[in-house]
Amino acid sequence: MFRKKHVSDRLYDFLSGTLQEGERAAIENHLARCQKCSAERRRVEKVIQALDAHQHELPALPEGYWDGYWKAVEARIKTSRPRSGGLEKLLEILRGGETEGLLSPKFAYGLLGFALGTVVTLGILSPYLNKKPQPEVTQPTTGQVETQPAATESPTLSSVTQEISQPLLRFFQKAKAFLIAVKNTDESKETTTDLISEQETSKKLAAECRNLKRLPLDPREQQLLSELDIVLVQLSKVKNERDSLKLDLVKEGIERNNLLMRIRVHELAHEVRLLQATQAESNKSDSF
Amino acid sequence: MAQTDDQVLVEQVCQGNLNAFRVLVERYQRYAYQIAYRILRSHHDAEDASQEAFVRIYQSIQNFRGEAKFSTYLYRTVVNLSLNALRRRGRENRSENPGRDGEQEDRKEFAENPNIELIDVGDHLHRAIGRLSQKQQAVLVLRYYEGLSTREVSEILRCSEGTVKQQLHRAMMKLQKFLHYMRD
Repeated sequence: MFRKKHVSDRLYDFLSGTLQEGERAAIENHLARCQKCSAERRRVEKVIQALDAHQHELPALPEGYWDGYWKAVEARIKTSRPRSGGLEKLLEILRGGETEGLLSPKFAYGLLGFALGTVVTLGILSPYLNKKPQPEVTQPTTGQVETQPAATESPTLSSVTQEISQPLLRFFQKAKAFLIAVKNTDESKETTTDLISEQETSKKLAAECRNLKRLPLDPREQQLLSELDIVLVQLSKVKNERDSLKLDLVKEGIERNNLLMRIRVHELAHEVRLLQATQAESNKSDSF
Repeated sequence: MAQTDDQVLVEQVCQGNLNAFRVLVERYQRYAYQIAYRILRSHHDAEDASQEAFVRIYQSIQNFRGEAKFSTYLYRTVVNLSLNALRRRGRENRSENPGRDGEQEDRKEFAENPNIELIDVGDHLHRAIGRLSQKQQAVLVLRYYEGLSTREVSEILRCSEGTVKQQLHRAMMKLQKFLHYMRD
């Protein structure tokens, strides 16, 4: 029976002759019936031919080079410091040094992003965290003690919540879900319909992003929205399933700029703001 | 005489035998250098990354519990150090040449020079390899140039075999796009 599953990822193994006979026959059978995979096979073949024809030769090393190699390693062993501990290692990684072993570069940048995000979040929230909503006691006018909400504080918190935090939170949730979906896209299995719907979503999100940028936001939030706007516009321009290079570049951009982690940090900040606002509201109603 | 098994040598190194480490270095020095050179394309940087890999391994040999082969551990360290060097180089290049777009420059060169024979295709091909993502470069070097199996590459890069196949295919498709515009 004709199997619809494409064999793109196995073409190199197929062409380099490293597959078992059964798998090889199955791929041959698929290639005979699938135009897409057959075309990809020709492309991979072309690349292998080019790589074979232009092998990057290793440099000619001076005679006796390998005899002296051990001496150089030995000298480095004797002069180098013993391996650094956890904190030093982390600092080394954050400086752009070694990433082998426990911490991968992604993890280290993620950690750095998280630390910066926490600082940003605390900075944004500090005015609210330090101020507890206190009812203001006014002079009784009708013989009874009246408590009124603080005139300057409550409206500020309420407007922040309603006009900024809620729409931003909604946008961040949608953008995060969309970017995760894009990151997990496998263009070899993607259909044109999926891409059209992705294009539509990215256009809508980009428009929403531009509207949000008009709000009075923290500069770091403005920066994040600007970067998201660029990514979304780029995604809306991915025309078809063959445009994998552009899609790959966008995916790399998402990863390199740590967009998902940064979205999550800002999302958290707004979640905390909303929580604070709800608590403030309930405190007010308690005081009545 | 049969070669002493890597694992036996590692145990001897753990007991402080530097000569055993020398045997390991001499056994793998060419491979380590070759992998680093394929990624970094510079003798000086490849020498530095491969030697540093041996130093790091010697210093942390106690942590090597023999779950993987010594060669896998070594190649992983070489690849990671080479990719770090590549990243550092990229950052330096970006700060020295902000806004430089290598791909556009290549396209311009091809457009201005209709006689394809006069262009060093090999050099352009290797520049195109340099523009692959780091993971794709590592997979291409280990799988195509070093001829390691998909399983070995997945162990070195600590990812699934499916990821290795996918990254290699994506690398091939990106290089094909490059070859395609070269022939337009």
